[in-house]
Amino acid sequence: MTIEQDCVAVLAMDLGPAARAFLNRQCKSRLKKEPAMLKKTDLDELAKWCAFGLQPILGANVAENAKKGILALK
Amino acid sequence: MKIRRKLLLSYFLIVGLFIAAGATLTYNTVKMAELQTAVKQQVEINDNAYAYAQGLDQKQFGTLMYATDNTQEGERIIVASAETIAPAETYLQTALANDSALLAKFNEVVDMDRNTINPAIAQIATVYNSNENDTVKYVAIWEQLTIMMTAVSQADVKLADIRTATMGNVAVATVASQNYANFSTLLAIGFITAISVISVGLAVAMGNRITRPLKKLADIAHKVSLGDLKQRYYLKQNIDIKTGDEIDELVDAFKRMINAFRVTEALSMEVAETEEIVEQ
Repeated sequence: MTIEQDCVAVLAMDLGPAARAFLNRQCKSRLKKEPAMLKKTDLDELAKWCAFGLQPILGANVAENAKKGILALK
Repeated sequence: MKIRRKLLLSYFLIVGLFIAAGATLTYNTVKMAELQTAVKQQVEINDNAYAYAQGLDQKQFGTLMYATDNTQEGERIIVASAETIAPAETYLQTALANDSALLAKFNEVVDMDRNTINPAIAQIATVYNSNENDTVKYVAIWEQLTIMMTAVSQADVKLADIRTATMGNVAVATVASQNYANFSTLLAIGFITAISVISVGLAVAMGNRITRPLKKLADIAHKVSLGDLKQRYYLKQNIDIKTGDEIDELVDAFKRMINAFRVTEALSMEVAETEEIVEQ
C-alpha cells in the first residue's frame, strides 16, 4: 500500500467516505503536493494539518485520533 | 456480546428451566410409581397373610368336624385348607425375603403349622381310628385338639402382627406418596411462575436493549436526513449508546457517516469561500 492509501485508511476510520477528499485538500492546500506524492517525511506535517483541520469540524477527540493514526504510519 | 448470543443465552436459560422442571417432576413421578408398587406389594402380603390365617382356621374347623364323627367332610375341609395355605406360604416366603423381621415371624407360623398343628391332626386321626375305648379316645383327641387350637391361636396372632406391620408400611408409603404429590404440585407452580417471570423479564429486557438504541439511532438518522448536521449532539463522539453488540458497530458506522457529511460540507464551504475571494 502507498502512503496515500495508508493515510486514507487511517482517516476513513473516523471520516468514512470523506477521508480521501479531506486528505486531498490537506495535501494540496497545506503541503502543496498531490497525495500520491506523499513521503514518510511529510507525515509529521500532514498529521499536524489534519488535526488542525478536523478540530473545528469534528472536535478534539477525532482530531487527536487522526493525528495519532497518521503519525503511527511513520 | 453479540445479539445472537444474547438471544441464544436467553433461550437456553428458559430451556434449562424447562428441563430442570421436567427432570424434577419426572423424578417425583418415578418415586411415586415406586411407592405405588410398594403399596401394592404390601397389600398383597396382607391378603396372603389373611389367606394363610383363614387356611389355618379352616384346618382347625375341619379337624373339629373330623373329631366329631364327620370324617369325610372334615377331611375335605382339611385338604381344602392346604390348597389355601400352600400358595399363600409360597408368596409370603418370596415377598418377605427383604424384611427379615417379618420373615422370621412368618417362619415361626410355618414351623407351628408343620411341627405342631399338622402332627396334632395326624395324631387325632390315628387316635380316632384306633381300637381304644371311647373315653381314652376322647381324652387323647381333646388333648391334641387343645394343642392344635392353641397353636392356631398363636399363629393367628403372629399373622395379625404381620398384617398390622404391612398396613403400617402402606400408611407410611401413602403419606410419602402424598408428600411427593404435594411437592410436585408446589414445584410445578414454582417452575411455571419462575419461567413466566423470567420469560417476560427477558423479553422486556432484550426488547428494550435492542429497540431503545435503534429508536435513538432512528431519531438521529431522521434529523440528519433533514440536514441537521450542526448540533453538538452529533458532534459529540460519545453518543451514549453502548450495548456491546452489533448495535455498537452500527453506531460507529453512523458516527463515521455523520463525520463524512460534516467534513464534506466543510470542504464545500471552504471551496465556495475561496471562489468568492477569487471573484472579488
